[in-house]
Amino acid sequence: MTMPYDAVSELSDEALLVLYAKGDPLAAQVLSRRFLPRVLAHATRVLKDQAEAEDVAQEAMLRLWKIAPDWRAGEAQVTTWMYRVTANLCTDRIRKRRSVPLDSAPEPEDDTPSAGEAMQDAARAQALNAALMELPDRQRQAVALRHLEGLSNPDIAEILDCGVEAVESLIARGKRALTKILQGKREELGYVDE
Amino acid sequence: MSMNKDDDSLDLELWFSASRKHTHDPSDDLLARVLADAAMLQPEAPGIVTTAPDPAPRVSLWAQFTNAIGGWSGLAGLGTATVAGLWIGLSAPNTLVTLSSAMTSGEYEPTYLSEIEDYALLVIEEGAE
Repeated sequence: MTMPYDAVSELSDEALLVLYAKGDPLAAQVLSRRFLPRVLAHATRVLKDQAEAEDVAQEAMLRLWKIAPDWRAGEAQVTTWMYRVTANLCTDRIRKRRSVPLDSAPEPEDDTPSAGEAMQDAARAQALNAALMELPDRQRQAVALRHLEGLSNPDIAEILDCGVEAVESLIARGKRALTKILQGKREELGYVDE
Repeated sequence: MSMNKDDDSLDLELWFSASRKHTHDPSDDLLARVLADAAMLQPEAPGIVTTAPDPAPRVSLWAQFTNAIGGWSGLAGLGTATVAGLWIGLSAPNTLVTLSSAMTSGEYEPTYLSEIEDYALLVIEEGAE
């Protein structure tokens, strides 16, 4: 017997994992639609490479399917666990890239004109992502998780396997570096203090 | 989604906000790959039959016949009836032909009939006394 999609989509993450482990065909769909965009977004921001980000997102989801039958309720949040797996996979990818000079990291795709708010937003997003790529891996992940994914510092500490104070330090240093990098982009993108 | 609003983030928040608006929807191809992985690794649901059930065992004609007559006891009864019928069939015609031919020729007077007749006469006589 299976539950209707609407009913399944309202279940908690842990309940969905239990359903998946019991063979429910809808649980995987709901979990994928819930987590895949988030892990893909984080991987894309951290890696700045769509193909690599998709590989990481697929691998992170694969690990979720594998752990589902052994998931121990209450020990960790599924969201935190997913980001932690994604962060580690991204770090592994970045380590493998070490031989590639940072200067060769992809630049924003084009010089988007600053006419129109949407285009300005897109330009800002691209500039921010490019600036993030100039940060060390852990600073980049901490800033992205805090300010783009909206996670709490304790959650980020769990994801990055460090203390909350270390997370605060990573974020503070990362933001200072971003401010410095983006300072030069303000006039170029038509940014005005509001 | 709560964001830090400390002094450092005041300037950066516009940039973060712009980046948050930029969604990263997975492509259909990626979603299909992820769901294929999920299907491959998903444990089987208890109660869901994924293999064809065993076909019903074939029943031989002999077994069907035995069942139709009520099993082995029916078969024994049938055997007995058959032997009895055979015996009657083999022995009766001779007696029957003899009896019938004797009766039609008028030469036959069964002994047991004469005995009954004698007995009946005796009863009548005793009754008369």
